[in-house]
Amino acid sequence: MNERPAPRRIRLSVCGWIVPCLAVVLGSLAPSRAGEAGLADLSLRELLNVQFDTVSTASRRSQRIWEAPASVSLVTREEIKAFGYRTLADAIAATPGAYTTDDRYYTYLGVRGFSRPGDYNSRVLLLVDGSRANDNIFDSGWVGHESPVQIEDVERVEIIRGPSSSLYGSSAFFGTINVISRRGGSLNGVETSAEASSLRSWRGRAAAGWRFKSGLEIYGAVTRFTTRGEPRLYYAEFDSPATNHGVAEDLDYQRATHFAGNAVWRGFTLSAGYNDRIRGIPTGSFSAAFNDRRSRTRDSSGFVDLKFEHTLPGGTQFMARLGQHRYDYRAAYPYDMAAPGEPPDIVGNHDSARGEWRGLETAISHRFLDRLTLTIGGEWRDNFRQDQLNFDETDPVTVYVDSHASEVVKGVYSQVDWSVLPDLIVSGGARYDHYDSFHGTASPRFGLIYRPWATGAAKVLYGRAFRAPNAYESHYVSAGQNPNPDLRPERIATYEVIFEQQVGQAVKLTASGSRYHARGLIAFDYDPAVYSFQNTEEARTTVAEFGAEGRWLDGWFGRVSYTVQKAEDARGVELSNSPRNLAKAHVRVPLFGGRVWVGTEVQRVGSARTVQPGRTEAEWVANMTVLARELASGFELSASVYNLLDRRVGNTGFDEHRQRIIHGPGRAYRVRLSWSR
Amino acid sequence: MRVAATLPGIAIFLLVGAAVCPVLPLHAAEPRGVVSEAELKAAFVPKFPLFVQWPAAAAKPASLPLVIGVLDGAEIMPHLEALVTGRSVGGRPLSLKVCRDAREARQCHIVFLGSGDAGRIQEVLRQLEGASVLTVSDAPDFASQGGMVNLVTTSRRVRLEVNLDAIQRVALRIDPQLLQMARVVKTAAPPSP
Repeated sequence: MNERPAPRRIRLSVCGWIVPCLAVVLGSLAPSRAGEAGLADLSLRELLNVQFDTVSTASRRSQRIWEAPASVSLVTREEIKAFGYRTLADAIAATPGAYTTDDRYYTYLGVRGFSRPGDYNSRVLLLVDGSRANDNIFDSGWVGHESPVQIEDVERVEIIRGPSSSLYGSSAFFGTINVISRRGGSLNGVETSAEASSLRSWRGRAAAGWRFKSGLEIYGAVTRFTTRGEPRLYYAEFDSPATNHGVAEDLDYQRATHFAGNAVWRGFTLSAGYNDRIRGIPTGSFSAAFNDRRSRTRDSSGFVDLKFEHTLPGGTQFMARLGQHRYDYRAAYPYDMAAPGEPPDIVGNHDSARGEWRGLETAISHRFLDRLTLTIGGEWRDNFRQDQLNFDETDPVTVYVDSHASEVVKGVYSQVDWSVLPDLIVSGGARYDHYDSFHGTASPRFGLIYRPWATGAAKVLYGRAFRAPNAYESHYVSAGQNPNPDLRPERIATYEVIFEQQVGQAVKLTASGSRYHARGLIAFDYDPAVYSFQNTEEARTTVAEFGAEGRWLDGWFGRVSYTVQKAEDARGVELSNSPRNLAKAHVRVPLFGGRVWVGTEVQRVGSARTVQPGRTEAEWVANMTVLARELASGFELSASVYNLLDRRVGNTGFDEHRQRIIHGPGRAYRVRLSWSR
Repeated sequence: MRVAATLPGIAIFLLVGAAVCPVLPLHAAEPRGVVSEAELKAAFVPKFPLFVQWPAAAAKPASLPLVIGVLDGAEIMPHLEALVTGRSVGGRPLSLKVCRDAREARQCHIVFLGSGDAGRIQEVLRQLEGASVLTVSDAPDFASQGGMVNLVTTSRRVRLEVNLDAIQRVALRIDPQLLQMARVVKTAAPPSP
C-alpha cells in the first residue's frame, strides 16, 4: 500500500519559475505580431492556395478518415487542453482500445489487447511529423515524460490501430502513433505557462512562434518539469528490516527538460528536438538494492530533421527527408553483494546505451485520372552506432557488456488506392525491408473500403507486419545472459472489419472487430542452457470495439467507447497485461458562452492477468478539468483533478520486478496558468 | 492527499504569477497550424462580404453587425467562431449566429449550410427563396442545385463554384473579381423523380 505522505508546505521551486518569467520579459520586448498571418489574414486568392490536412499517417499522404485503410483516432490540441492531458501517454490512453501501464520506471502502451511486459514499447511505432522516433537500441517509442514528445508542442496526434509495416517497416506492429507538431503560425506570438500539481510537481514552459508575410514560419519551445513523486512508497514484497521495511523514500522523483523547434519555408521544414529525463527507481527492479538513493535511470534523445515537400505542376507530390538522431540511456543500479544476514556491501552497476542513426527517405505520389493514387517510396537508415555498456564500479571495474554494433536498413514500398467505383476503394500496398542481420522481409496490406450510402463506410482490412530484433535483444550480454545474433523478425498477420456511420450532423458511430496472430515474438528464455532472447512466443487476440463520438455546434463534445478483448498464447493461456475490457467516456461541457470548458473523463480498465500468478482488479479512473479559456486578455487558467475517486490502479510487475502489482498514483491536483500574446 | 497544504501553495503561486506577468496590451493568439479541411473552409466565409453588396433593404445601417449564420455546420462552427469573433470586414463588425431553421437563416447576410442531408439543403434553399441571403455550402453540387457559393475540395485545396443566376435573382451584387477566382455554374434541371 502506498504510504500517505506527511503534510508539508510547498516550497516554490526555482526552476519552475525561471522559464516562464524569462519568457514574459522576452514577450513584452518582442513586437506584437497580433493580426499578422494566420488564415484570417489571408486574402481570398491566397486561401485558394492553402492545402488542408486530414489524416496523414495511414497512407503517408493526406486523406479523409473514412478513406484511410486503417482504424484511426485523432486527438487535437483542443482536447489536450480540455481534458488536461499531461503527457502523450494521457492523450493516447483516452482513445478507444488504448491503455497504458506505468511501473514507475517507464510508461508502456497497449493497443488491441497487446502490451508485452518489458518490451519498452518496441512494438508500437512512434513518429514525430512522420519521422521515426523509436530509438535504435531498444526500439523504444516513449510516451511518458521520457518521451521526445512534449504534449504542449503537439498540434494533433494520429493513432492508427493495427499494423503499418507496409509503409513504415519495423515496429509498426500493433499500432502507429504520429505526432503532428505545432508550428509558428499556430502561436503567432509568445506563450508562457506555469503549472503546479500534487507531489511537488512543477512545469514551466516558454514558447514563441510566428508566421511572417514571406511565408516563413518559426517555432521554438522550452519546457522544464520536475516532480518529487510519492515521498514514501510501500512494497510488501520488501517488508523486512534490511530493506527499510518495504518503504522506498524519495525515489519516485522525475526531472525532465525538453526543447522543440521547427522552421518552415517554401517546401522545406527543418525540425529539431531534445529531451532529457532523470527518474529515480523506487521499485528495486532488476534485483537492485531496495531503497538505495543511487537507483536511477536517465534517457536523453535529440534529433535534427530536414524535409522537403513539393508538388510538381502535374499534381505529383514529392517528399524527401534527411535526419540525424541520437539516443542515450544511462542507468545506475546499486547491488548488495553481501551474503544474506551480513552487513550490506553495495557495488554500483552502470548500465548504458548510446544509439545514433541517420536516415534518408523519399516518396512520390501521383493521382491518375482522379481514380487511382500511386505512392512509391524508399528509406535508407544507417544505425551507425549501437553501443551498450554494463560494468560494476569495482576496482578495477568489472565489465559485463561492451558491445558495439551497427546495421544498415533499406526499405522500398508502394501503395495503390484505386476508386473502382465512386463509393468503393481498393487499397493495396507492400514494403520490402532488408537488414544486414536477417536479410529480407516483406509486409503486404490490403483493404476494401466501401460506402454503401453517403453517411456510412465499411472497411475490410488485411495486413502483415514485422518487428526486427533490436540491438538489446541480439547483442546484450550480462551475468549469464547470452547474445543471440540469430534472432529472426517477429511477424503478425491481422484481419479487421470496421464500420463507421454518421448520424445527423454531430454524431459518428463506429464498430470494429479484429483478429491478430503474432508469431516468433521475442521473449527471454530462462532455461539455464539457453538464457537468451529467443523467437518463442505466439499470441492471438480477438477484439471487438464500439464507439460513438459527438461534436455539437455550441462546443459540446462527447465520446464513449467500449472494447472487449481476448488475448492468449499458443497454448490458449491468457496473455498478461491484457485487460479483458476497456470502457471510456469523455464529455466536454461549455459554460458561460464557451468561455469555460469542463472536461470530464471516465475510464474503466478491466482486470488483467499479472506476470506473477494472479490478476489486477478492474478499476474506475475519473479525471476532471475546468478550463477558463479567456480569463483575462491572453490568460488561460485550468484546474484539474486526476483520479478523482482516489482508486488504487494496479499495473502488473514485469520479470524484473519482485512486486506482483505496482500501484499507480492516487488522487492528484493540477493548476495551470498560461499567458500568450 | 495534502489538500490543506497544497491549496495555499497554489494560491501563492497564482498570486505571484499574476504579479509577474506585466499586463500590457495583450492579444490571445488564435490556435492555427496544421490546417484542417473544416478550418480552411471556415476561413473563406468571412471573406465573402468583401465581394458582395446587399440591397439597401437588407444592408441595414453599416454600424450594425454583418451576420453570418450557420445551419447544420458542426464541423465548421468552432473555426468560424475563432475567425469571426471580434473581427470586422470593411469597417463593419461581424457576428455569428447559429440557425436552427430557414426562418432564422433569413435574418442573416450569409448562411453556411452544412453538408449533411441533401434533402434538407434543398428544403432550406426553397424556404430561403427570395431572401437576400448569400448561401454557402460544401455539399456536393450545391451551386448547380440552386445554392450560391459552393466550396469544392480538390487535391487538398478548396475551390469556388458560384451560381450567378441564383445570386442575381435576389438582387445581391457580386464583384467581378470573385467570379474570376471561381467557376461559374448554372442551376441544373431538377432530376426527374
